[in-house]
Amino acid sequence: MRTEPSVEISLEELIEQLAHLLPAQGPLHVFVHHNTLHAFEDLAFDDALLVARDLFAAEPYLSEERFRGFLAAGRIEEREIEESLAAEPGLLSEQPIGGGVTRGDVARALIVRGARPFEGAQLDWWLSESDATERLRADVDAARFGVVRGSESERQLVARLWECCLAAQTRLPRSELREAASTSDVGWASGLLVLSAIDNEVQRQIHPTLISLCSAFLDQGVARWSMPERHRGFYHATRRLWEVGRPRGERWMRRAAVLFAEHERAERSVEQILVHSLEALSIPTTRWERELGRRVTSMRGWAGMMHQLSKRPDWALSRPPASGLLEFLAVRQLFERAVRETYRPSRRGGGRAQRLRLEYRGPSTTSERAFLLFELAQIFGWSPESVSALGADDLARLFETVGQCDATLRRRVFQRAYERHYRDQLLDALLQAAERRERAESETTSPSFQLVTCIDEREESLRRHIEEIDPSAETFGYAGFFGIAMHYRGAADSYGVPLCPVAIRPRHEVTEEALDPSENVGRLRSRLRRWLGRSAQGVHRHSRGAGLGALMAGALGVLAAIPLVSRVLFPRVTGALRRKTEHAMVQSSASELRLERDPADLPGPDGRLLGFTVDEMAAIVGNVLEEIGLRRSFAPIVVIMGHGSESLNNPHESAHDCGACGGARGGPNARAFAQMANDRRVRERLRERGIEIPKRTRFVGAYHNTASEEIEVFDPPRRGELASIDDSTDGSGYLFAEVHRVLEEARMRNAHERCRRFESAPLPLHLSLRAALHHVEERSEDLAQARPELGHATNAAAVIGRRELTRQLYLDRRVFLVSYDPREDAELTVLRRLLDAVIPVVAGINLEYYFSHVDPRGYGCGTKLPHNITGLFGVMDGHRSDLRTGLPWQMVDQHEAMRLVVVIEQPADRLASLLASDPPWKQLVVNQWIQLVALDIEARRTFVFEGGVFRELEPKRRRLAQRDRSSDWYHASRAHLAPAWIERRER
Amino acid sequence: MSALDWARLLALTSLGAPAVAFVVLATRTMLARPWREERIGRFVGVAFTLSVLAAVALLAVMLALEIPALRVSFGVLFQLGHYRIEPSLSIDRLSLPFVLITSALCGIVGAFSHRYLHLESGYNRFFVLLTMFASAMLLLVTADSAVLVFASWELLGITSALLVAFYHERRGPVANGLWVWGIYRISDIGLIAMALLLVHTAGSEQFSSLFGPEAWPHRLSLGFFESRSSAAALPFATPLALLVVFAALGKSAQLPFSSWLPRAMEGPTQSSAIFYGALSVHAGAYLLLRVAPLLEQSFVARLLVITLGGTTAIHATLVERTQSDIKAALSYASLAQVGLIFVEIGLGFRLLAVAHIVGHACVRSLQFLRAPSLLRDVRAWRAALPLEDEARDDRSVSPALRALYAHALGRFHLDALLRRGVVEPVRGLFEALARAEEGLVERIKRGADDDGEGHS
Repeated sequence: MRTEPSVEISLEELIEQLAHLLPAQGPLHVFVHHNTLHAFEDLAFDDALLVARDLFAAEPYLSEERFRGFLAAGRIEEREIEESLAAEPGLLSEQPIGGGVTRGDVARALIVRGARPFEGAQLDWWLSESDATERLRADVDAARFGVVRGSESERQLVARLWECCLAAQTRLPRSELREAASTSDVGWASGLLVLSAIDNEVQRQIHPTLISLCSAFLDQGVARWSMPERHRGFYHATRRLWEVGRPRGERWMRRAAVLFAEHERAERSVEQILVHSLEALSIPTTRWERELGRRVTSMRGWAGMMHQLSKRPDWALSRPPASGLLEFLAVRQLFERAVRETYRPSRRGGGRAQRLRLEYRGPSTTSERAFLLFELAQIFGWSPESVSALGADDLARLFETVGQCDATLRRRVFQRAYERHYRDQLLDALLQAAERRERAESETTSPSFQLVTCIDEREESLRRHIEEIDPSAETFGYAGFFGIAMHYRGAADSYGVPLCPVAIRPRHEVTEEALDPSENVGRLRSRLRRWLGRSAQGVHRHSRGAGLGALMAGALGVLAAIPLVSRVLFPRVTGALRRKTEHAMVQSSASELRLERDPADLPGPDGRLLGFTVDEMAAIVGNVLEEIGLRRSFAPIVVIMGHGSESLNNPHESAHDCGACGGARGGPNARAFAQMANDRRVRERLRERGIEIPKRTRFVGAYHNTASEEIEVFDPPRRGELASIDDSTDGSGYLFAEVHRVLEEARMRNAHERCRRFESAPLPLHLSLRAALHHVEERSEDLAQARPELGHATNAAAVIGRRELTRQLYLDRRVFLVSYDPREDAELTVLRRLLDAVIPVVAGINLEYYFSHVDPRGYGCGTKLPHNITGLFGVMDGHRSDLRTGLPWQMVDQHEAMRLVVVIEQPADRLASLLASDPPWKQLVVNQWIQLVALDIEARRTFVFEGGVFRELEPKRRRLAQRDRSSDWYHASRAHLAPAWIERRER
Repeated sequence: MSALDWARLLALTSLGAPAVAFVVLATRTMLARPWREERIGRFVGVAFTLSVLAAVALLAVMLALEIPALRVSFGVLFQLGHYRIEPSLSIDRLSLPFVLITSALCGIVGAFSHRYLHLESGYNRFFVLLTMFASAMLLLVTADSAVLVFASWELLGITSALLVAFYHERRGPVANGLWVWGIYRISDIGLIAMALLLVHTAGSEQFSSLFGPEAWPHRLSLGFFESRSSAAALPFATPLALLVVFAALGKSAQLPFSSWLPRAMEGPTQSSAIFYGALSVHAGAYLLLRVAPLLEQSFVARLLVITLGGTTAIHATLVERTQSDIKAALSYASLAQVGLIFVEIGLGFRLLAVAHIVGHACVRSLQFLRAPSLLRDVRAWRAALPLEDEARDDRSVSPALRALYAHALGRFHLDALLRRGVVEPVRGLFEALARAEEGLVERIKRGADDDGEGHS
């Protein structure tokens, strides 16, 4: 869509091109964060935003109003605006304009102070009905004009000023007039949003039908009666419905039936049918891409899901669809043709094209220009006389600058300043922390225990609390699938799920085997489980029918009042009760993972291998330990902690789960990793790689529920139990009891810290730790809770380096922490491996939040309250809307829309050489989708990658606050907090 | 105070608390001084708690003292000759279950919404509408006069339409809200005509004086096609009954009006739950129960109720089976039950109908409130069950079944048929009339001008 195609392209290519315009989101249960504008990554960030704005009518940045709010609140400082203005090409800031100001001054005035946003008819109203031409702007110092506010003199002065501004317009040369109007007239007219009345009518006619057909075709199990002959593809399934059903609801449906029959007689293929329709609509081949693009974007959620599910049939819950975008377009265009042929344009009013022009434009009418001059005159303190003294050249230069500083430029400058502020703050904190650490006596004690969590920024606080409680504990961050790409089936599940990044299709199958006290108990449990499942399914299905539904409603309906009342009024207790019963009844008390595979085993029928060989295990464990820089000085206990999130009434639940596990819960990965690392044979092989794990060290898997703060430990060493690795007398059970105590305390503190963001917990946080824990538990069990947790909201940076860089820093759950030890990576092989996996993931999360926050309607899926789950793969807004993709507003409302600052602990020249080797994430960096920062910690220097080179940043030397404990820093505020140094002052 | 006075006080508290809450919230909104979320939530919570407690106490008092029915009269509003309009409330064994379930469900939805709508820009508006809805519904189920019924019926209609159009910044909700409102207005014709006809022919529009004071407390009909009411035969019973049935069909989304119900799923989840799953959709059924003695006098009307109710039930089950979004599926599921309830009323099983309504309201509210959990629920039970054979998709389906599926998926094109069969002709007629009127005015004006010129 970006360039007008001059040559004919094949239908296949066309479909591929069109697919780029569509959201790449899969079904909800495999929600994976990805860059909403992934298809535009070959463009620079700012350019891509403008292209996308024209295509999707979506906002590129936050509104100026919000940015000015940040400015007023000190979130952005004026000097940062200054700096980002300086980076704006083509704005000759130093050039004087006249009236004693330069171009830069004008730009600054328009950005920082801003003209009141009135144009067109609104301005006319404002001029005639308000006192705008009689009173000074509220932010102007009246004394500068020598008048008193509210006095008659003010009225006269302002009226005269306005007259002069109007009069000045006549002095503006004609050519400049056109120039001023056209330079700022961004290419909206060519945008896809320009819809004619006919297009609107066509959409109104066919969309409801098309939506119900798509929904029925893709359905994964909501409807009890599925679409007949779906396996023949969308086109044929639809055609068959038309053949037998002969729908007559709308007038065009009859025509559609005729067309279907005609194509059938001519035995055309779906491709031919699409081409046929396009020709019948007399769209020339050269415009196919543009015209079809316009059409698919008007229903891009549905078209995108058609495409995604056909590309990734493994994402379907039960029935992968048999066809994709091509057939969708064939049906759509056939319908459109039917509508257009039914309602001939000769009909009254039909041919009148109403052009919907939504555009950002510069001042183009006389009064708009005069008003801008009027505003600038007030800001600069120009008297009516000095306005009259402005010559034609001055005015021309002034309006040229005004034209350049259109809304897009102003917002872009704000955006950069907004990002710069946070980036400088973070880098300052990192540098000062290094200094403080250097000053402090560094004593090397052996660690009491070690914890490896996901790199997820939500684990930042948990790690910090653990280190606060036990200063000799060490924590690490690694992508939460812990290197184990597996297809996993739990003991209580009848089918497995992939637990690894979506880009990987797992080749290994791992199953959990229940260890019940006796076979009978096991059988009983599984029978009970099946019975419960079947009855839940039965109630769900049959309560919707007439017959059994009547019986259920009439006879047992009143019983529904019990869960209704308890679920809504006492969510926590109800949830706990349900979980306990379920646990006792259907879950086995013990289980083990079937992990090991004989090297001679062949793959099963689905192409997957059952388990891992010892060599494979050793490779996995070795790689992970190497990448996080844990090669020696192992503690007696190493906890590996996966994470996930559980909440009710949340179709986007999976978006809160572990992204590295493909939007699933990473507990089994942690458990499997621990089991692998505890294997004696694995350790022997690791020793050959130079990783020496002492015999007494025991790995323990765990699972952290980020919504309820529950921490589940798998196969914990029990008190008194001997270390199971070998027969040394050192009982790790005793040690583990201590670790367990720290984890318990840490999860409560973590809950407490999270509560500060919830308005349901009054500030300052006087809640006890226990009450805070109950608070978050309640939220995860509450049907009415639209924000069970805040997910990745507020994520802002990633630090890839040793924990020493960030330890003792309060980072407000905003920073992805990736463990990496640059001292042992001379060849950068480890870093490359790490970045290839990490950067696309964290950038995807960050950018998805950016877009969903900046335009919740265009990029996000809006407020979740009216969402309506469709086909088990997506949500609509209420009744028959487009399928909504992106994140709901409730997930992103606390976010700060900034590009991720990726700080890597390596000198700039080494990173430059890494970039030069064309890594897969190069585009993200070069096109500025992320802000890459090289941190040379020894030299205390930072470099940011901008405009193709690493540029050194000047430290701002803001004071780094110090507090005894994290809670001293956060307990009185709901706002985003600056980094702080957490250290107990000796007294 | 006598026991009866105490009972009256309880009744007024139960009905009045939501109304007071509504007046307070609405006044503050009109003055552009809405309260903060926390305060609104607590205030509405107190109001509904009071209402529920008073209703429970009232039930206890009425059972203990064997009060069959409680009447609260507000005097005569209007009297001219034998025309007499006397708005009054009556709480009997029919109203009481409805009062209880209305205030309890509205209270639960209030508690739910307080958390669900946190930070939503329409928070205040939602609670104004919720309290307004509750007041209207309580008034409807206790009104003893056709005029009061009509008043509350209208209030109910406008709140429903406003709640459908809750997200008024989008086009869909507004269009659908308007559609719902249109259908309500059409069916309102039945109610207002019935009230006027009643006053005109019987001289009163008070149910208790028309049907006898004990139509509901004692005469719980379990019977079939025979009249057991003590009410004297009314003149024009069949036209009157048909008008009421017409009104009830629209409000309860029975055929041929069914297509508005899925369209109403535009508001926040919990408003769909309470209005279209539990309360509003049963309003038509309640009305039929209230005028059951009248219905009993007209065989034609009963037959109509049975036929349309039955057809609706069949229609809705068929459509429900094909709907692949949960809210539309649930709304058709509701419709099927309401259709059956109509059949029960038509057959005269009134007690059964009341029980059915109460049970259905509870089940459906819960299902609607849980609707966003569907994905989680389905995955949970799928994990517990052995993998199903999914190949059944591919088996061939007989042409008749396929045709049935095609129609059910298209919801039997009721929407389009209504639009093409009713809306467009009516609009065409009005447009033609408007044009004719314009032409006429033009002619008169020209005539007057000519006259004026003639004079000058």
